[in-house]
Amino acid sequence: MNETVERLHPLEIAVLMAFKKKDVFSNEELSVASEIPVNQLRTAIEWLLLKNFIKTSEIGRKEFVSITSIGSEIAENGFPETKILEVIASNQDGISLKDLPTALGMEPAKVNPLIGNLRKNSAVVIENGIIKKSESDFIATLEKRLSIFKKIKELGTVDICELSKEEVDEVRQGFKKRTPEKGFFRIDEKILLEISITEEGKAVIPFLKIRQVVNQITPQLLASGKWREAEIRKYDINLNAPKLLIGKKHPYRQFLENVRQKLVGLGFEEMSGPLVENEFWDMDALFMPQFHSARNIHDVYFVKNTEKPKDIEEPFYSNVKSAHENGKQFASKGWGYTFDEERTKRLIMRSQGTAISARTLASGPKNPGKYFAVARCFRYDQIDATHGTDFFQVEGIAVDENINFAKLLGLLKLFAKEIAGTEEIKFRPAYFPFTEPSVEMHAKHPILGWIELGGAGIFRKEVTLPLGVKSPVIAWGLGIDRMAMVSLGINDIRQLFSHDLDFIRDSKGV
Amino acid sequence: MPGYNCSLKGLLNMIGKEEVNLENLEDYLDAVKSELKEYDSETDELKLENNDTNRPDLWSLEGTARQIKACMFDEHADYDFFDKTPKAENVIKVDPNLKGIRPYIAGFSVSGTKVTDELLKQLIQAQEKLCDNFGRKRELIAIGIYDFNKVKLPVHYVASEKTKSFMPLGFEEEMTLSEILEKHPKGIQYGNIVAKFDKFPLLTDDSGEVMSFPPVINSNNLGKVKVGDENLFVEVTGTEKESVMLVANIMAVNIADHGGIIEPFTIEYESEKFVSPSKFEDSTEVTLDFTKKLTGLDVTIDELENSLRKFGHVVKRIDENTLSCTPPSYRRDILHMSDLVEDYCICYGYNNFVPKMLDSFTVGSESDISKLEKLMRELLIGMNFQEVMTYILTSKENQTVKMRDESGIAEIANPMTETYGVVRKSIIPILLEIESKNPRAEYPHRIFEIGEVASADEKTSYETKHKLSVLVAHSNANFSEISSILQALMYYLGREYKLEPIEHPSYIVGRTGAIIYKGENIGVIGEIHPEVLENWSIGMPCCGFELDIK
Repeated sequence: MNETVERLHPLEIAVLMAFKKKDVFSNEELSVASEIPVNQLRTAIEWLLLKNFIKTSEIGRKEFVSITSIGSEIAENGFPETKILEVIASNQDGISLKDLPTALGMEPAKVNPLIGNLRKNSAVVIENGIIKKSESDFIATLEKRLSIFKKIKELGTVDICELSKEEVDEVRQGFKKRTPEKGFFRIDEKILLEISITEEGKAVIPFLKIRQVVNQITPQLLASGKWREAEIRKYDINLNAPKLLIGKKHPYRQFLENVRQKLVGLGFEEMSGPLVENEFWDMDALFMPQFHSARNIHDVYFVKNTEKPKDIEEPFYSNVKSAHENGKQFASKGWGYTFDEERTKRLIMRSQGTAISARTLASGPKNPGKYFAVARCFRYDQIDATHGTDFFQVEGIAVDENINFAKLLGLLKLFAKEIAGTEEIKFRPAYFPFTEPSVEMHAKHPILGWIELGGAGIFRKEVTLPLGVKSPVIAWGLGIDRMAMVSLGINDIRQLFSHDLDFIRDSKGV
Repeated sequence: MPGYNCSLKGLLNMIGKEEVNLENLEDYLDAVKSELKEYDSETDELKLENNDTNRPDLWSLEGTARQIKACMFDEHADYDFFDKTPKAENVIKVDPNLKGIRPYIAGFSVSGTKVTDELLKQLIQAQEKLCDNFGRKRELIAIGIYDFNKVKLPVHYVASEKTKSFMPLGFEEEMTLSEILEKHPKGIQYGNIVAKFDKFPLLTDDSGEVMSFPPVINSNNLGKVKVGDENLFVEVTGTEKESVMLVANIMAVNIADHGGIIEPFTIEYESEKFVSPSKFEDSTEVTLDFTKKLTGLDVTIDELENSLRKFGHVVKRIDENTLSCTPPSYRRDILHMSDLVEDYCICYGYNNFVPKMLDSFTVGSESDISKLEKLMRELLIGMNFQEVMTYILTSKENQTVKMRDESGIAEIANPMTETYGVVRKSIIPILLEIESKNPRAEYPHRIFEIGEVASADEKTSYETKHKLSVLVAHSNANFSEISSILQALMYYLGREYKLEPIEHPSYIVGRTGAIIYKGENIGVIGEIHPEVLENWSIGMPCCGFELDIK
């Protein structure tokens, strides 16, 4: 019992104390007795009802009348029927139905129902298309009704019991239950409640004391030391706390950061390169012949160049050209065709992260050295649930005099464990224009099952030698989008770059 | 990349080994680097894909079976026609005027086998793949197949007048060569390859009957092959001699694998003669030292020799360290000894390698820009901002018209859709796009993106820039708020900056500043212009800034 009493809110206590004097109250009476304003009282009543300390019962209903905006307009301007009757009365011989709207300055469609109404009330007579005023004095009837409109408009909201029978009839006639906004009046029903104490409530009352209960510790309480005497109200700590809007990383960013962190941990240094690349670094330097089928207009985004194309740096241009044309310089047969100098300068959107690796090789990398990039790349694909216009590729190289294919496989195995969290892997022979031997790694992802995790190989001599690197170089690339989608809990790749703020805000860390 | 189909039964028959079945087929496909995409058990059709653009011989049922048999079972067909001397009448005479147009041709005839449904399907498929993928849509290579019984020898390959007419495949009336380019569907598709020349390539038999108009269309009479035909003539034309010879060799071995007897032809040019099909005598040396170094395996010269021979090469031992390898005549992909080492590795089996750890020590690190970006990201998150990430390609209208700023946009020459027709030069428009789509998300909106942009103005010249872009939107968003955010950011980055009043079309005049750091203009800050907000249908005041990260 004590605990229940301690948890009572001051409002609840005040209400219960009121019941010391009598067992039954109306809403208003209880507000007065407990000294709690009506709006706060409602909350206290709800709480106490839940605790079963009081109960409420309906003792009746009351109707309150108010005027609608349509009714209010009539109260101000009078009935349009009055105006019609006045216009007709001003013409001795009546007026033709056809001319009436013009005379009134109203649209025919609005006039017709009004005429119908007047006819129904025998206020007018129509003969041969001519409308005349009848004997009855309908204008006086309308004036009387108008006074009721005016009165209710003035009163605002009024208890229907306070109106005369005539007034009540007018209100009921002008009230449309289904579409209140089209009627002249509104009638709102209010339920009258009687609030009484229950046995449980009565049992609590003797334990109540009016106390100084503290809701919030304030600087004043602390300064004065009065907190010592105060009783700090106990909270229901399981109530839902308000939702907070917080600042945070994008979930995909979080995923990419995790991958980067792994790679840095494995001894890789970050490299970078331009989004708008020329064909030289994106493809030619990678020994992809200029006639290669992946180089045409349906595979790569070309960029309109409004300037004079820049020359390619030497000696790389001459070396790469020679590797393509005859290869002799690099112990290769080459591709045996005439290298197109204009084509190599053409601008494209970087189609593969390997372009960055080529630039790194040409920049005199450390030896031994390991490099990585998380690079935006662009492919000419229809955008759908599995293809985006641009996407991230994780790419890298390892330069080392003692590197070989067995070590390349070891590195891939390490990636599978560190990045996909699996040791179940399979290697398959693959083809990339710039590596030989080339390999694809398939890994059994804990959720996705077997996926192609990445491709790799040892750069061809036709790639490394023209760029000035004599040691063997491992090149690797990882496909991480599907893993990212799993950890973000999405199945449409477009959501990685979603514009939906609620989706981004609600997404959890990965 | 080339995908090709065949029936499972056909493939297994041609491999001819009981132990190979649908379940373990993928393991055997390692030998050809093909991927099993799909199997339809109702039609028995296999869909395979091969990415090796240098091995057109593998893009067929026959080539796949041939390489699996060699690499996995050491079984090799004997293609003795490569050593045969052509019969005297088997001649193709080449007109010297074809020089500069489409000078090269190779061809052979086939007897001893009836064209079956399967063979016809595979012939058509090989023709398509070789012409489209390897032959660059017939520019480099075009193939024609004919009913040999109707051909009078010798065959003539000539440069013909455009007014010459014949009945093209699928038509019942004669057309001139010019008309074919205009009216025939194949003429419309492939005509551009020859349209620029004064004369067109034409293949006729000795009676003057037109066989085909390479690389466009066969004749309706001689150039029609159907199931049940017994004798065929196959020719390949093109612009590069080696490719033409290679493709003829591939077609020949493929047909020979079905039991066809190949009869070679002499190709008579003005001053020289060739035989087709014929062997390439193009050898490449590989050393044991290089193989050991590249693979990390302690391989012997015997093992290396044996594996390469098994894979299909003719191997000669030069010394205890050097082998000379001549690839089979349907391959021309060996450019460097590393290509031979890969063949060896495939024979050895990738999964038989013991993966080894890298043993050299290197220090990992992020780039300076990444470190700075990380710091900025943390500071903004500390100021209650949500990070967003968006595409780099976007629409021109969003970047220019809606922002009232048309300058320096880098456009894609071949956009797939206008929605992604330009490279973003600023991220602010994308943040506004997000704002315009999220009026129902709880306010305030505080968002930022850190990312790359590029622009086409003279100063930047398509150079990639890293930018931080910040946007605040709520009913009281104003300059003072965004300015305190910039101020806090720059303070904690330890960067002293100044704001200089400027005018910028996207921002409100008098509430816009250039961000000056070390005397350089690194960005802009301000309240977004109401007209810009209207362009985006945004009903909430927005302010923001964007600066270069460097």
